[in-house]
Amino acid sequence: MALKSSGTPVVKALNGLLTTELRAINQYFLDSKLAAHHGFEHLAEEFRKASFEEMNDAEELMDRILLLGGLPNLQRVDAFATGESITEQFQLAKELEEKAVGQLKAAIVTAEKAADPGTATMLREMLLEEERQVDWIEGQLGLITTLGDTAYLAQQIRS
Amino acid sequence: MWICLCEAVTSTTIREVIEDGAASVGAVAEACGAGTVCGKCKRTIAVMVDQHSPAEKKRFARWR
Ligand code: FES
Ligand SMILES: [Fe+2]
Ligand SMILES: [Fe+2]
Repeated sequence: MALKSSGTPVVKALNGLLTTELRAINQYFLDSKLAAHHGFEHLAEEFRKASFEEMNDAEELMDRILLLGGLPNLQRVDAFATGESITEQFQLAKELEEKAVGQLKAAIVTAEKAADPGTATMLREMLLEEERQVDWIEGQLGLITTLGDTAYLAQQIRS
Repeated sequence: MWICLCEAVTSTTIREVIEDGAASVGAVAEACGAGTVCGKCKRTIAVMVDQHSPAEKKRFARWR
């Protein structure tokens, strides 16, 4: 069967989400390795987990796109930046997650308009996870503000 | 933050070369290498040129 990446609005929306997930995989993987390089093993593990979660998201999106007759676009990956400090890494992570949340909400509307409740349900579950991630990142930024950089980072050394 | 991952250039460096007179994405590339490989960071650099070029600052100085 011929696959078309830009077929339906739903496939287009899913490919858009995939682009963001691919960026997230890379951004968090780099965040993790940078944190490890600086000796913050605990944070390195958290970022690594986040990167792998995004990879699961990417897989789910790819499977769904194929099921709908589209071709998952792995060529397009959003540009990203990474922080020179842990705080900056979290700020950039928050930006990324907020983008993903906005995109997911729009994609849910697209799926519903296209009478595709299966896709909408999948995206709703994904949305809950991304919102949990935003919440976690905000929590870390809050801790950094409350405790100060040094006290916060002292807790991130051991894995 | 690291804006150009290909050439490992930070926002601090990019801002410095802009303040030293690099007034376009091309001039920034020449001054510090940012944007010369995959080009993905160019959009961010363009925004930074807008924000940090001295001419821009002069224009807004009147309102401060
Ligand atoms: S990220 Fe700047 S040239 Fe590739
Ligand atoms: Fe995700
Ligand atoms: Fe995420």
